Amino acid sequence: MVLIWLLLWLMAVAVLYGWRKREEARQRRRWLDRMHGARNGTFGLGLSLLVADGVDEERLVRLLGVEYDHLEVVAVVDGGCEALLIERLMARYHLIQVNWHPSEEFAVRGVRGLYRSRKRRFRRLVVLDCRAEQPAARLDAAADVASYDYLMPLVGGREPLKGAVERLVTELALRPLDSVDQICLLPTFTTLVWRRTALVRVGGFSCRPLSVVAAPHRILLWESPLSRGGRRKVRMRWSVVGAVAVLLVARSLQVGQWYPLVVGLATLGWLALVWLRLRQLDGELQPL
Amino acid sequence: MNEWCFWGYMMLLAGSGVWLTVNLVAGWMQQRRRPRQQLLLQRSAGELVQGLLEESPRPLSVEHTVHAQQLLAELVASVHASLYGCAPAPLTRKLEQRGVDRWLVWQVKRSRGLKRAWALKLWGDLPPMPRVEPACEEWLLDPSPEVRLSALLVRLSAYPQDALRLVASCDKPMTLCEVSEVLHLLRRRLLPIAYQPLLESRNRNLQRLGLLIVHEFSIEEADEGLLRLIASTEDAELSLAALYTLCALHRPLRGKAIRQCIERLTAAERGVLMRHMAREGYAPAQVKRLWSERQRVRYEALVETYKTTLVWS
Repeated sequence: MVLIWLLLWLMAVAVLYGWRKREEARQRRRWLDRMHGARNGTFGLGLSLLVADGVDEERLVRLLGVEYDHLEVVAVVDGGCEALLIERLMARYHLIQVNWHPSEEFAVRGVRGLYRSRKRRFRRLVVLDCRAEQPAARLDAAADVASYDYLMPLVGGREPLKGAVERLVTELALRPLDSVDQICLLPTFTTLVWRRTALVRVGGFSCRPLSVVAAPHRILLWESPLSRGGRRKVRMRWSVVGAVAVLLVARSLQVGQWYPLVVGLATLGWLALVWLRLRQLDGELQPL
Repeated sequence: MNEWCFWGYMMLLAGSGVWLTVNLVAGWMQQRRRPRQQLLLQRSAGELVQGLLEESPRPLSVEHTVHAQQLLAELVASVHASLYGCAPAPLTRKLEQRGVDRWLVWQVKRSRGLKRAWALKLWGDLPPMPRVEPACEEWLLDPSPEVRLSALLVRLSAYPQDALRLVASCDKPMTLCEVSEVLHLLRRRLLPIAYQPLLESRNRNLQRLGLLIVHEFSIEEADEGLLRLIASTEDAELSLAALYTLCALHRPLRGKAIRQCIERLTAAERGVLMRHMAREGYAPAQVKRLWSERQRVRYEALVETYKTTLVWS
């Protein structure tokens, strides 16, 4: 019984802590949105968006529409299956095919061609024709040709939300230069942004590190700057909640005690409130 | 024991549940009001600018809505950021008429942490309001670094002539974000920004500000000052920042100072610099003296990835 109470208390405290952190992240977002450095392009910190899958023209239009100056989009396309897409992109963005040389930093195979946009035109787009099947290998190939020091992998159709790139760059600029190797999202520790030298040190995206960067060189965020992409929204399974409530009532009637029923129903109701508030906070973030 | 745990747990759920419900309801009401407020802000921006051009103040649509003071402050801050060389007096009068200055001070005093930082930042973005004294001493010593930065910007906004003195008196090295906010403020106030005294100063923060000014305005004549900083061995980070600034200006990279600075870098830092130079368009012949043989081959391969090979048939 003591163990059950301990678990309930721990659960409640953990959920409350997560919620408070999320509210703080919202306040921080409002404060970061008032900073001018990223909008004026004063920082000079470059960010490369690595698009390993789901490349299509509409998505590239949205990504290239981000107004931050020092931004680049590196899109990996398999020319064997999508040769027409590469042709359309070349025509639309006046890409030229340039020479590709593998660097010693990442293990990259299967590259057929590299295309860059020209200077004084759409300089910010790079298209890599690569045959790799694994998303991590495609990301490595994209990282190999990226020009900037900070890399943001976008997989599963995810895209940065409106203003997210500017906020991320401001977070980097708020720390001493070159002191940040990684930006992670809590509580899952998903890496959002890698510094190139740190990524080379851990062996690239194929290495799949959990959190190999030391804490002082890491920024932890509680609010995701990315859209959900192709993932389904997490829905509250009201049928499951109802079933659990019915079970609690039945159990209470069986044992003749009202404690479990009251505790169970109160906990479910409280969790539903937390979920609704978190969903409301997510609703404030706009897609590109 | 069971009863204590039960009642304690229920109190926790009840208290936090009330708090959650209040936040939920406030959030829901805000969500309902937002589309109308956006519309009013757009309309009011036009009305405000029209009033400034005609030099006759007119009532704004946003003044008759919920949270009017906050919306008016945000509107004036965004319009003020877009105006150059315009006297701020009409905007200040508008803010004082609606009591926005007093509202802001009350917001700063009653809030904590990031809410206070946001309110201070908004204050710093507004034109000077003489009715309220930016008594920032306690906020400059706040434990939150965001509040300290925002309070510094309020102080600089109120007394821009003291900007350089305040920057020099900061005991810790300022970050890129902090220096760029100071630069933004200096540009807004149209103060003459002389880069030479800043680069020659012994103060690191002033030197950082000088570098940012040179970079921002692409001042090609700043070669000498930059080379002096590159040659200095006191602050390796500052020397490297000066080298990057020189690259950003596409100036020739010649001289012993630059070679020695590159020799002091680690292999990873040299790789980053190489990539930066290739991106800025330095040909291999221009920088061959800076690299060893192996590094030269690597640099040529990097530059090749920006070029296409022409095949003549």
